[in-house]
Amino acid sequence: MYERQISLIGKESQLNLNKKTITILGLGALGSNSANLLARAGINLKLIDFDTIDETNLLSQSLYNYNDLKKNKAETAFKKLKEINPLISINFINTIIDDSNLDLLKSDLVLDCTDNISTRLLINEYCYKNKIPLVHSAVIGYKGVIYNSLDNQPCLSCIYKSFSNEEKCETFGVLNTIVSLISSIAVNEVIKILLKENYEKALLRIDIKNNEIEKIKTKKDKNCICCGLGESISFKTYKLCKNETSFIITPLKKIQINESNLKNFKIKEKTNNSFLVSYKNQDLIIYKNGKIIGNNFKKDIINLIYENG
Amino acid sequence: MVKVFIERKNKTEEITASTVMDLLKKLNINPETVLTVRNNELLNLNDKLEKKDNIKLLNVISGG
Repeated sequence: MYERQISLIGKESQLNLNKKTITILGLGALGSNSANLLARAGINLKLIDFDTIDETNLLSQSLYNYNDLKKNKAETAFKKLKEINPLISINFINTIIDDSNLDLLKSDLVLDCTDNISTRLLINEYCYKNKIPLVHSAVIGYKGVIYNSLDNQPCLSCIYKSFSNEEKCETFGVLNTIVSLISSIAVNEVIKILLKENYEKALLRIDIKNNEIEKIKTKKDKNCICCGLGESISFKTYKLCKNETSFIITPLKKIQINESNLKNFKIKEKTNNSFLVSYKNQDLIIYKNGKIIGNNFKKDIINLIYENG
Repeated sequence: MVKVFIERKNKTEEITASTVMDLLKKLNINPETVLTVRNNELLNLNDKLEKKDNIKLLNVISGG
């Protein structure tokens, strides 16, 4: 199956690729296109996504078709990829990644195909701490980016800060051509990294409306909350499920919450490690280690809890 | 004066600013929503700016 690739990279490199397993997080546009290329190249895959396929996905999510609507993305991708290449090992996990299950990312490399900065920063931190190479890919509109975070490269948190006003493909739109292009380059970078070849150090940013390719040199941010000294952002927030109003907040430094932190809240129940509280008719679960789960994220709630600590 | 291209507005402005943070404050732009680039190099918020710098404020891309 791999003869035409072997004639370029050699048999030893192909055998090497066949032994590697990478995690693809997000089986949407970038994830499904990348998974297709990686499976055909002979790389073992772990597929993670919680979402299901809807009609709008069919524009750019190349593994799926009309018969797949409402099916789970990771499982559907698994079945399609097994047909494409039965010689490789493929696993799928229908779940959303949060800080309780980050170990699912353990593999030779993580390919980031998620759709929000918060999750990207969460996996960046895990990969950085566990020395797992991370290839970041993202698209919107006519544009896309690829960045390799490994070795002594600045990490993703040196580049991006957590923010909530993101432009989404759902609302801003995206072309399947930029998806295809960014996936191809990202997979090419994955292969270079797995084979310990010279990989791209810059942040690649491509605009297919004007056919522009920029190589942006990155540098470490000494105040980075992941690889630097920064503590300016004291928590991370990310979506709990498809419902965009649900959130989990995890403090980035060790803190201890007790009842004195919660004087602005009505404590409805308490357990050994958590409180169920109410604030402005909204229920929140606050754990003693600082984790907060709730709906309708509001920064003032966070300040009330953490600043009273 | 620093020359700034703001991708979101597809517009270039000239402004006096001493650091990236100062520049973004004067333009009323949330620092978390843009990448600040000078001569194809990413800048951090505390980086100093010099007269005649050409700065690009690029949108953060995060769809997948």
